[in-house]
Amino acid sequence: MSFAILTDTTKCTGCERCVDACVEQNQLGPDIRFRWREDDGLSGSRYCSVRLAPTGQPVRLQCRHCLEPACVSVCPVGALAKTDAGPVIYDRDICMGCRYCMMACPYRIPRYMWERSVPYISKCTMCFDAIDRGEIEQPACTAACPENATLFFRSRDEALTEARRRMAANPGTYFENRIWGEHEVGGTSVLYISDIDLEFLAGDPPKPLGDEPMPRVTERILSTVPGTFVTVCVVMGGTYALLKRRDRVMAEERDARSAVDRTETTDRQDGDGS
Amino acid sequence: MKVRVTKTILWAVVGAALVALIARFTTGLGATTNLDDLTPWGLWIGLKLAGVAFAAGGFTIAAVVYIFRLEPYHALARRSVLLGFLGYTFFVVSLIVDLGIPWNIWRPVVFWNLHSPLFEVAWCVMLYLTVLALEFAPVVLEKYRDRSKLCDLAYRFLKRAVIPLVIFGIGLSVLHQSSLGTLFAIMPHRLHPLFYTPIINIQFFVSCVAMGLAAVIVESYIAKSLYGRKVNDPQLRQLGLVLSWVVWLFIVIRLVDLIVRGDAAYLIERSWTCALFWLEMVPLLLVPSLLLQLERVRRSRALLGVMAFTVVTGFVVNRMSVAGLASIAATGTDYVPSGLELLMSLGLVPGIAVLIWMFLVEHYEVWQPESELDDRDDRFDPPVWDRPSGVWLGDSALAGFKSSSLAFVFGAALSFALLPGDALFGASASPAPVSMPRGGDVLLIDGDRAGSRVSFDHKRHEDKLGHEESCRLCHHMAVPLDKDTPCWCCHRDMWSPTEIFDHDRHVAVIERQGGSEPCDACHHTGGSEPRDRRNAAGCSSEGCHVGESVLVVEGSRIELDDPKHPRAAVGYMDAMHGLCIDCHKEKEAELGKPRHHECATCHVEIVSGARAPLEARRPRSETGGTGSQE
Repeated sequence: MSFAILTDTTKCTGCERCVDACVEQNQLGPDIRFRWREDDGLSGSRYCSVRLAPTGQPVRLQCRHCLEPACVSVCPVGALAKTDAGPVIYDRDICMGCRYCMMACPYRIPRYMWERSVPYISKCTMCFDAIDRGEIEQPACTAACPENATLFFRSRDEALTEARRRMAANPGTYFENRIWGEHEVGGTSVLYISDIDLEFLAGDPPKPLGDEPMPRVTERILSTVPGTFVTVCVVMGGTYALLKRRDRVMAEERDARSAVDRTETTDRQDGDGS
Repeated sequence: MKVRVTKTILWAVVGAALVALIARFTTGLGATTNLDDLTPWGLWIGLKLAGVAFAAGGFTIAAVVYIFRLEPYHALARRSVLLGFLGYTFFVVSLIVDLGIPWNIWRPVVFWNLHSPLFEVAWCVMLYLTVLALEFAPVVLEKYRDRSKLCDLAYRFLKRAVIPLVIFGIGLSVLHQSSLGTLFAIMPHRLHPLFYTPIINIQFFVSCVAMGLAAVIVESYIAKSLYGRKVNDPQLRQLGLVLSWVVWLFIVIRLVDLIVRGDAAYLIERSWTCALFWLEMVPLLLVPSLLLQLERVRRSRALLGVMAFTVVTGFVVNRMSVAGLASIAATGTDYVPSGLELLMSLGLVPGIAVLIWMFLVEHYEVWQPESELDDRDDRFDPPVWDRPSGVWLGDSALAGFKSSSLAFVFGAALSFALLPGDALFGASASPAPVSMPRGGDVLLIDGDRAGSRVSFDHKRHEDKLGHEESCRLCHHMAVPLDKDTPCWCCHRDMWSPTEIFDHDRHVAVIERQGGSEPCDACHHTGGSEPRDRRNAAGCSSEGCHVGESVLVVEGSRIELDDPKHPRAAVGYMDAMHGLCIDCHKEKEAELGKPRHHECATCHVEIVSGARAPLEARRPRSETGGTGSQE
């Protein structure tokens, strides 16, 4: 049971009603063209956008809600969290503004409110709070889509089934019959099917992302931390004890030798004196 | 003299940086730095990484002296602990500047995320800074031992606790020095393969040891040139030798890792990231480490200092590359640190940090008796403070104090005068360039991106909407992708029934005619239900437009009074579709063409060169998913 969004770019007309609905639902301000604003339309005041593929086709952009999210894994204070229901949510009251999540996200989704003196991260949360409170049935964006190009599912398997159904129903329409997000970086809750290559969404210039979840590498390294710490401390303590003993033994031997020397000298002096 | 000039310059930089810092905290990061969404980490992170590695001498020399009990190096212990302490203090201070919400810096203490390398770094730095403070505290305390019993007690306790502290500190250093590398292990999508490796943590640790050793050598020579302190030449020479071995180890680890991962081909790539790699590896690391193997080079103070400095530079370049330079190719960022970013960095690290260092070495026994004054060039001229009377003694002190304050004020004023407008008033939107439409007065536009275009007379629209003033009516610069208003926003009647009934005008007419309740004249609600279209009287009802002709062609299939949209004209599309599709549907059976009414019968190829006809893409109009269908 994990929420999912399936976006079928072949049906998207680029009307941006999803963006409008998102702005209204999340009460986002105007999207001002600041220096740091990216061309893809996401910004400190836009959680989702419609960007144009190199082919000119509109493609909806939003957080992928990875199954094993890099942003959640790296956040030092746990301001970002993957809920059991699927959405990756953000708690601005905990955030300290290190922006590590922005660096770690393979899709470069989190954006920053750079213009503010108290800035926060800005990121799609799949309207989780409102859904959780029961105010809405599904995210504002999917509810607003007039073309059913982006659909909300209560279960990711259902979304995958629907994607496969569409592919089976329309052979040859979809690019490589591939579901973007099924396996990449361990799978995402936001899935895409398209008649074009969506590799460009992972950055410019595009870089293929493996199927291994991003946090695996760091978590593997971090799992060695306690062992390393104990080993280093024990080795250092042991070395210290060993060397100290060596010094003490050497000092004792030296003392003993000098004591012997002294005795001999005294004996000789005594002998001389006698 | 040298000391005073250095201090004056530093105070000026600190003054200038202070203004920049105030601006950063009042107007935010966006207005004062060049960081952006593509490059959320910039110069500051690179400097922080380099600074922590620079401070690694604190634990390496402590290990040499206290664990391996190499007594000759004892003279280096205090100064390297001081380096470490200052390095870490300024790591935290610059983190406060860099964090978006700096007053939340304590959060990792309470909110834990064990999967985050940064969480681990936060804890280790916090603990290690405490350890360093305790390690350095005896230096300060010993001065007050005679006068305060508490100081004496603390001094003796800390002296006894030094070994556990050192061991704890080494453990913490190994962890966080490598974890600073782990920070980047999650970003293969950002870093160039020459710099990204899953064992980046090991590389970071080895290089921090080298950098720490080099930093101790560099510090010794700076202390010598500023204060004429005697240099522990034999020990530094030996450190130089060890340094070269560690640098070799680093180079070997790096190359072997590249070969094992199969990325060695990038070594001969023609890119500037590759050039950066070679710059770091050959002139900045390999050459000095080879030269340090020569006895003659190590015997020369100048050469040893220069070599150590080169190695430090090499690792600073390494940290800068990992923190940003090596990700330029992958992200395509155009980030260049802003002047204020640079100024704040200068003000913190060479500025306040060096001033504190100078204060501590002047007032406390950082350099232990072994390194007494070198009588050949005695330039150590500390200010004299007569404690009982509370008076500064000697000209130099007062003059130094004056010139420093003057430099501080001057620096601050200059910085304030040159502050960019954004830093004073907050970030402003960047201007968007506007150009005339490409392709002449009439454009072919594909509004719904379905592959078929319509001709759009830009000139005519411009004239009609009011020339220059009209641009902003359609072109919304603040809308994502700078989208233009689609046709249907204005020409709504193309797609939806248009209200041809002017309600306000009717109300006015009825009021003029003396109707007391204008609403009830048409809306026969019976007083209870709300007034709407359903309970309104028809146009041709009693007393209204009886017998007047309506603009509908006789025998038309379009019904003006359809139950869904009473009193409205059908939209353009409805009219067309009503006329064509309905008729096609009727004729289908007769003609034996079951799909005669479908879109592609009419919408075949529209503009040559456009995409395939609708017929070929028909499956798109299949029904959508089950999730949100109504």
